[in-house]
Parts: sequence; structure tokens; C-alpha cells
Amino acid sequence: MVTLFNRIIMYSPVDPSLYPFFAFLFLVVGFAFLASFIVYEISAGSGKSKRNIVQEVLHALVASCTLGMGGFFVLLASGIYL
Amino acid sequence: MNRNIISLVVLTVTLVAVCSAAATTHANWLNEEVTRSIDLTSQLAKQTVDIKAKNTASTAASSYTFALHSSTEHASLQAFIDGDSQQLEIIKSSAKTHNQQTYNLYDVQLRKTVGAGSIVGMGQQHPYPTHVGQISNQLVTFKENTYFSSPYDTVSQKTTLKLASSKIENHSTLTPSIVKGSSIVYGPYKDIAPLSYHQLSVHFENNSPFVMLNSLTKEYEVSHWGNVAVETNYAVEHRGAALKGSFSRFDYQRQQHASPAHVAEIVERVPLGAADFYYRDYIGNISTSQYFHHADRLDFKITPRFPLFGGWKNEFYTGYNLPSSSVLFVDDKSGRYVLNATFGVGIADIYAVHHQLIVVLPEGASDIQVSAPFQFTREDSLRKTFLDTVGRPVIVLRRDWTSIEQTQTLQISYSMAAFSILHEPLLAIGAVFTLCVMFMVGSRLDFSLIRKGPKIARAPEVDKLAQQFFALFESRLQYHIEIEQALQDLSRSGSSTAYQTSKQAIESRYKDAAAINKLIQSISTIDPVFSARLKDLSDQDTQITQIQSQIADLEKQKSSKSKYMTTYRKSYDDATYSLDQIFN
Repeated sequence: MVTLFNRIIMYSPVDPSLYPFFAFLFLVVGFAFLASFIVYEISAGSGKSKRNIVQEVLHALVASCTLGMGGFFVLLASGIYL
Repeated sequence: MNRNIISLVVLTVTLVAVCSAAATTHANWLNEEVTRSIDLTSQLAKQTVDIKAKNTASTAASSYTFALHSSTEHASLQAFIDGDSQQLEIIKSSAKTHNQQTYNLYDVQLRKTVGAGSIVGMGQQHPYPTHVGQISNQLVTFKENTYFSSPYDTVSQKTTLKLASSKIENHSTLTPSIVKGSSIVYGPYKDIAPLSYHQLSVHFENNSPFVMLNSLTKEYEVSHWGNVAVETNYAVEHRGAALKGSFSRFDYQRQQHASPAHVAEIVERVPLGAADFYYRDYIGNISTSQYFHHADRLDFKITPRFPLFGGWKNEFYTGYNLPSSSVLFVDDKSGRYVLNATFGVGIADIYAVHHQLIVVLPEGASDIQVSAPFQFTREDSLRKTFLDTVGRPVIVLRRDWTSIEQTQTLQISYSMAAFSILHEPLLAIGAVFTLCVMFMVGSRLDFSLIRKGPKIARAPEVDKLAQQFFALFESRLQYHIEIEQALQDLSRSGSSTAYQTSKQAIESRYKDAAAINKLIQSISTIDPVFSARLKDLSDQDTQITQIQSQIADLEKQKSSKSKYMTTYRKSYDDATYSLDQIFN
């Protein structure tokens, strides 16, 4: 039984009023990185010599982290609490 | 089979134990003074019973038994010790028949001798007449026991009936009884034997809303991202006197208060801090709703699209968001999460026949425990919604026949790993990363339609000669294109002399055939395999020339050349393809 005396109030890890801001921020950064990733992929062509797998994966990781978080915050900001 | 027999035996033994316990405790008590007031101003029959009882036995009693006459079929019960707000536990024990009257017995677990209790009888007032017109008043009947049903002797008792109006058609009498305006007082009656019965019946006007909920489903969806979404589904029915004749919207709009028994709006009590209200019809129509602030709660007033008359039904749902800080806590000892949920009807003077509480916990919640101060049935399941993999644990708690008086807070506690909160964002990140990986794989694959032959390593001197051959053969192909042009001119004009002249002009410009043969000769001395392939190509070139002259001959004789045209196209395409194959 949890009473007034032995409880810790549960707050969100991020203040819910900041969700739209984070959604916007992460999406803008995310799309920028995704664009640069796609530009890299296309400009490197199919010639293997010009490609650098580390570069590609780094681009993809940053793009997916920011874009994934952006999409997640869009859902939270629009009222779909996950 | 054996198992069944064993459990049956155990059950019998328990029953006997309960009965014998009840039998011994019955005689212990003496009701010194019982004051009963029955409030019939709404559709519910709210009885408040103040009991002053004395334990006449020499040993201390742990429980007090009271009886409810079978006319109160569905009731929510609460019992308190005078001056103590904590509810006492009530256990339904058994039914007892005495002088052809059936009583349900309840044991109240006690600590002191002076008690008070309240009984809310649901569906106990019945409309009579059962059908009334749109602008008629609603009359109802109510039946109860004039005496306080008790398995003990009662020294003195009095019952006050508070009616919704002073318009009383008739009422039963048992001296002394007196009518004062909208109240009827029965008693005081002295020295009443246990389980005495005398029927109390009143027929009076009651225009209060006779609305009940056939089903009430309240759903809490918990998110650790700072929100608890609450949605309530209502299936409302007006169980008062049914509407006689057809409904006249004109009469209704002209004089709304002329239809006294209808229900036009419903007020739901909502906890403070709730936000993002919505109210929708069963089919999704958004209707009017307002909310009002009070010191301890919000009132959410909803106005359905049509008023409710007797016998009419409506279904709708309302919802709001609660900040998790107001209902979700962490136990500082066990580290378990605890949700405080309200179980009960949020609307005054209404009762629910079937009430269920659904709690949707975040994915990853385990070891779910419910602690509630009342009896309920529980069912566990899983639900998959946005960004879920295994599904969110759902618990469904059910309780029948409940009213706002029985609204109670229950606690649902569960354990959850701290990183489970990152499950959904990681899933979103993973989805985008998968997309990127697919792009990386896709850009490494070759989707061009031309098949490339294997590259042959050649000696540098051969390579040089091959370059020359390539240039020469390309000019041969150009030669064929120009001859083809001349052939088309011939087919158009029919002039063979003009063809001859243009053919000679073209041949004078391209004198490569001999040079090609010479090149093949010199390559064959160094790389015979490669020169053989070039020889094939040169043979194809000769073949094209032959076909061209055949077509020219046919053209001159004005006969069909279609057969040769296809052969020509094919040999030309073969030659270009072979050239690509060799030199790419």
C-alpha cells in the first residue's frame, strides 16, 4: 500500500510541454542527416572504391537516432502516449 | 474425480462453520435505538441507518449482522463506526427465510458497539403508470419493510421517508405514522421482534432523472512519458416511465421544463488536473460539453444530441488526460510503480449494472497486483497498440450494481525495468536505421539491364591493336547505317542508279574492310584466341554487307524483302552486341 508518506511522485523524463519543441528539433536535424546520408550514397555511385562503410554507418546511425526520436516525440506531442 | 470430492467436503465444512458462527452471534446484540431515514428524492433509495446496539453477551463480539429484506435486491452497502471515517468490512453471509419473507444477511466486522450504515437500493423504485406522455409527471412506487430488518431484538426504532415531492398518491400506514409535507415518519415502534415484517409502500411523484448505466467501462492507459489517459464508455438507459406516443421536437423546444422526467444533460465528476477533454457519440459525433472548476474536482457536463425519455438509450464515451504526477507513484521501499485509480460511477444519482475498470499498463510491466477495499473479479490480457511488440498488459476488474456512493480508490502496483521506457523510441530508431541499411544495400546492387562480360586481360601491344580495331569496326557500323539510309532512299524512289552512285560515294569514304583483316592478322600472331573473336566479328560485318546487297537486289526487282529485313536487323544488333561484349 502506497500512502502519502512512502511515495515518490512519477514525473515524465521530459517535461510534456517540451514535446512539440523536441519533435521539431529532432525532425529538422534528423532530416538534414538523412539527406546528407542519401547524397553520400548516391554520389558514391556503385563504384566500390569510393565508399567508406564506417562513414556510411555513422551517417545512418546519426540520421536514424535523431529521426527516430523526432518521430517518437511527434507521437507524444500529438497525444498518442506510448 | 478425487479432487472434486475433496473440494466439496472442504466447502461443506466451511459453510457449516459460517452458519454456526452466525447462529452464535445473533443473540448477542440488542438494538437499543434505530433511526432510519430513506431518501427517495432521486431514483435511488438511499437509506441511512443509525444503530445504537448493545452487546448483551459476556464475551466481546467481532461482528454485527444486519438483514436486508428481499425487496432491496441490489444494494451498495457501507458501514461506519460513529465518528470514524474508515469503512468497515461487510461480508455477505447467507439468506434467511422467516415468516415467508426472505432476508439477505450481512456481517459487519466491528470494533465498537455504536454503528451507522448506509444502504443504497438500486432499481427499487418502479414507475407506475409505466407509460406517460411527453409533458406528464412521473409517478413511482416504492416497497420496503416498515421495520428495520434485523436478526436482533430492537427496543426502539423510527423510519423517516423523504420523498421527491409532496404529491403522494397513497402510502401504507402503521400507527404511529404521519405525513409532513414531502416526508412520512413511521414510528417510533417499541420492542420489535427479530425479522419482523410489515410492508411499507408509497406511490408518489418523482421526476428526478431515472437514468441507469447498463454498462460502464472506464479505461486507464498508463504511459511513463507523463500521461494517464482516461476514457469512459457509457451505455445509458432511461428506466423511468416510458414515453407514450411519439416524441414532439416542437413541444420539447418550446417548453423544455414541461417535460419533467426527461434527461437533457449528464454531469460527470472528474479529478482535478484533468485536461484535453473529449466527448463523442457512439458513432463518433462530437457533441456539446463544458467543464466547471470546483475546489476539489471538475464537473464535466455533457449534453447528448437528443434528450433521454423513458425507455430511451444512448451510448457515448468521454475522455481526458491526467498528468502522471497526480496518479502514478513509486513505492520508495520496493521500487514498484503504483497507480491510484478510481473505481466507481462518476455521476451522482445514477447506478451501473455492469461496471468494469480496464487498466492498460506500459509494455514490460510485470507482477501486477491490485489492492482494493472491495470484492471484484479480475481478468488479465494483452493489447497491442502503437509501437508495441509483445503487447501491453491489460487488467480488467469487474463489479456489478454500483453507484457513486461506492466510488473508491484502488491501487494497482507493478514492477517495470527502468529502461523499458526506452523501448518505443528505440523501436522508432531501429525502423529508420533499417531503412538506411536497405538504402546502403540497394546502392551496392547493380540494376542495369545490360549484362557485362568478363573483362579479359590483354597484353599491352594487343590492347593497342584492339583499340585500333574498335575504332575501325565502329566506322564499319557507321558505314552500314549509311548504306541502310541509301537502301531506304532506293525503296522510296525506286531509282537503282541513284542507289549505285550513293553506295559508291559511301564506299569511297569508308575503306576500312581491308584494314580490319590486316589488324586481325597481326593480332593472331600474339593472341590467337582474341583474334578469333575479332574474326567472328568481322565475319558478322561481311554477313551484314551480303544481306544489304540482297535487299538492294530485291528492291530493284520490286519483290518482298521483309524476310531479309528481320535477318538484317538481327545481324546488325548481334554485331553491336558482340562488339560491346568484347570491348567492355
